[in-house]
Amino acid sequence: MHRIVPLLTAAILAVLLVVPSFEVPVGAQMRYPADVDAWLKQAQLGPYAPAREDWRAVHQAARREGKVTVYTSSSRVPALKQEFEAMFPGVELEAFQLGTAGSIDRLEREHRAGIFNADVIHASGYAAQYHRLFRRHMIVPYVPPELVAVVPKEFREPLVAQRLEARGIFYNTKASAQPPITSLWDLTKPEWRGRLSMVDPMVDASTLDFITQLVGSALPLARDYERVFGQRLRLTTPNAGYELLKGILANRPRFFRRHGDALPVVGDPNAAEPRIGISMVYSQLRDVKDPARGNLQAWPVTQATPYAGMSYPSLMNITVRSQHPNAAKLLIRFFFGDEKGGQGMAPFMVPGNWPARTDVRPPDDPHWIPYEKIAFKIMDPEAIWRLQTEVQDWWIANVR
Amino acid sequence: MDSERAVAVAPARAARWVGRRLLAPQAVLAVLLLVVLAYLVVAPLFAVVTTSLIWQPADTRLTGVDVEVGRFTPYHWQRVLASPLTRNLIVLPLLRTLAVALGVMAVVTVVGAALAWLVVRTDVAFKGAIATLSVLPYVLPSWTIALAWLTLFRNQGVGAPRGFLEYALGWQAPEWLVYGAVPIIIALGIHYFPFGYLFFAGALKNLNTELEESADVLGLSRWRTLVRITFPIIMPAILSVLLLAFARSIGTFGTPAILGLPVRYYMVATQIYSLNLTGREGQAYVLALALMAIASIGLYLNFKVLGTRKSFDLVSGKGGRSRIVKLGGWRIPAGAGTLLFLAAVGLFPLLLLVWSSLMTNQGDYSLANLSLHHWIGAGRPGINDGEPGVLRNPLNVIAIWNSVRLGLLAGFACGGLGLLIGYLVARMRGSLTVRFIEQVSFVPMLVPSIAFGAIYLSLFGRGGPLAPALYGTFALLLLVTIGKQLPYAARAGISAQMQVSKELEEAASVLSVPWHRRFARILFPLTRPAFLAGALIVFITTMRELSLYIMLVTPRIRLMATQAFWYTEVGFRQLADAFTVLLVVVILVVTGLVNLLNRLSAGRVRGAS
Repeated sequence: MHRIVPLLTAAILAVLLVVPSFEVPVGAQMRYPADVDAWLKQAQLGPYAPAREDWRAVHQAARREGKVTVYTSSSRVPALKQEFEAMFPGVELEAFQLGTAGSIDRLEREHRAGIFNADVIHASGYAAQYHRLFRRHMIVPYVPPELVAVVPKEFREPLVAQRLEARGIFYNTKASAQPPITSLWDLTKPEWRGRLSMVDPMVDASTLDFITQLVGSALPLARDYERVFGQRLRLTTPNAGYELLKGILANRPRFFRRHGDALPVVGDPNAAEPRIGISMVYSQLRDVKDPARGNLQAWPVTQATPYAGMSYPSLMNITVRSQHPNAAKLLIRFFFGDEKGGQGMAPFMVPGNWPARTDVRPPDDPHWIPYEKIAFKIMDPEAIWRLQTEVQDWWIANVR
Repeated sequence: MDSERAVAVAPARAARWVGRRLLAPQAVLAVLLLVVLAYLVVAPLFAVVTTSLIWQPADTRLTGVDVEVGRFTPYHWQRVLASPLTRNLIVLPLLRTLAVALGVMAVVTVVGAALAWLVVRTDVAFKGAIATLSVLPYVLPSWTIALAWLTLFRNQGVGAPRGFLEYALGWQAPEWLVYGAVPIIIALGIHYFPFGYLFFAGALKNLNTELEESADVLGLSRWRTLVRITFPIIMPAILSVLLLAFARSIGTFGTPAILGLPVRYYMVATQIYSLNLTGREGQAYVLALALMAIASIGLYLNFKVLGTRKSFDLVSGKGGRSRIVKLGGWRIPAGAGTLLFLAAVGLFPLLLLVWSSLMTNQGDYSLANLSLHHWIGAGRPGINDGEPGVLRNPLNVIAIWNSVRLGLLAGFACGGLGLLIGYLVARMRGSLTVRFIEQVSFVPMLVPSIAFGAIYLSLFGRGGPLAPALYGTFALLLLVTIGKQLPYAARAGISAQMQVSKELEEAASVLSVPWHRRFARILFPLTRPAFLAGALIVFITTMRELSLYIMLVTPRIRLMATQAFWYTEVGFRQLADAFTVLLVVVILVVTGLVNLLNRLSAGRVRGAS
């Protein structure tokens, strides 16, 4: 009798192996399939988007649709419900806060299961959204025609961005009066051993993007190494990006699950020694020195070579086959806000976020740093898409 | 003894007749359970296996391999099992996971058994308080224990802000005590020993003490009686506790993330979470299947131990209730010591939460800083973006109701299913079908929650011939909860039913009492403690569960856990803490009410008999 159980298990496994899979292969052609095309036509989106939008008519149509559902990475969206519904009476705003990975993942799974629940996806993750959603006709970009002039092309095509976010290096301002590093290579110097904190790229997709971009910047990093150390970099890994990661790892950084857990360590107001946080989120600037949040003493390193941080667009696009396309258009317009940075842009007019619209005045906030004052590298979604598996594999194999 | 005699003297034909009468309803039950399990468990398992064997959409980024989404591929298995990643992706994490699991099993068994013995079998002082506090650490979300640990032990020496011990005593705890295996084992052990307590207490309550009394008469010492008689008798409960502690500690993510990540102490759960997050489901599921394989070894050993023994039959038709050990002069010190221990591991983290929820400004420990703002304050601009206190938000009331409803319904469903599974396993031990049922009912514990939720989304999202479209409904949340939490109740049901002697049911059967009445009148009352234990564990777990629902909830069906998650994500630390305290209070109140009802109805039954 005992013998039969493993045999049976093996038999079941064999059946599972033999029975073919059930997924429909997705073609790579960029032409819209007929059903998507029909929906685009009916929703007046994509190639059928009008050159001028009659917003009163859109609002009327949206009222008939009744609501708009958004999947968002931002905790700040649910609070916009009242203002949106006051601005567009008769249209309900339903916000699901799912995080970037969660929003993309759920939208993709729902589409594959034939559920069209979301109308708008409002999250970052450019590479994943472009390849997994856009190229599979699950999302379509939309910019209100009257805003085309004030939104730069890279924020309209191929996907639409609401704003830029950024990650970078933060230091403890109590322990160091000046930014303690001027090059990313400084992070590999022995004086930082045991003093680095980092969000763990194993459990935070954006930090994985961050280190992937480092590997994607191998050439400028190699040149910077020569400038800093006065000698050519001798490679023990595939390129200078990996070499930098190896040096950082040799300093044994502490890893944290979320940037919210790392900031109190970096900005500890009682810290006796300098501390540095890697892949910290710039929008955390608003938490700094807030007594309700622990009076943390941290600030970004704004100038470093080859760069001090990375910026990346936070996207907002309409779901293909949305049941509420007109309401979705209203929401996109709402998210772009007005020239004062109001409406749906208001919660994002904070230090560490920069609007996609060029005609918006910056807020009057001592923590606001103008975008041009920071040595940013704009993340390259193609490089990240291409390199990410390799970098993650390297990380898994080399971190212990 | 009556039934034994009846069977012994009856002609063979009568015996066969009795056997048929007994077996028929069991066979029907077995078929029914097979269907339910196929629906709730086997289909998700099937999806896990297929996912690991086909190309996923996110794999299209891979270069150098020919990816066709949906096609068969051994790629994910090969990457995990035979590539440069193997060592760090699976071997090391697996070894660490096993080490932690062994440690946790030891803590849970020893602490749980000691507490259960004290409460059930001795006249220790403060019994009521001990019994209540023994469950508290499980009611707390496990990360609160991990955070409380850090609050005490972290220090500048390990590169963290000062913790309490450094602040008060100037003592810097060494790194191995702050991060890594030791604190993970302790934190998880504290969190899960209530399992041990509940199971052991149930088992000890149920067994009569004739055997122990005989040992006493024969002059065996108390210690030897415990080791030679009591332990073997409660073996099914011990094994259940070991299995649960094992399965829980290999599947938990939160505590290892807080205490393990900082020093790169990666465990399998961390890797699964990470791979899932970065679009590598295929590999994540290979790891999940590896965990399942290991757990089935555990289950197999369980069969080996239980299979070689003929029967336990401890709850029989005769015999008195438990004998109470008199502790004499140790009555009060033992009670006080136990209470102190329980306060340290259960009350202390809770008090830290309460304290934190009362701090108007984070990190300011002065008394002037304490207020009820985050509880009952109206929203004030400038503080937490104007968010009102947790008791001021009417949506939180909806969340509480939804969570309680979900937890209780799932608890009752799982408790009932658990008893039925236990009944079959106990009555038809050795039968292949029943073994299959037992093994399958254990599987959901090893499927990572987030994967389980995702699988249900794909099964019930659009609907089909066998699965109705349930997306966005409460029913789907209920189904996924029952599927995922069934193992707890099944273990409770199995260990309880194993103790019940066949003779009681046979006696009733000879008297032509139909099966459903035998179950309702004899078996259920005897195994009700296990039913309740199972149902309550499911309830408590459901109240705190988050990742299972993240793929399935809609804003309409707000749950307490999703609301707490939101507070945490926004960085409203005090509101999150206040809401967690509220969650604990709700769990305690509901648990208390259920226990009260139980006591009332038990009184009624006893009064009637």
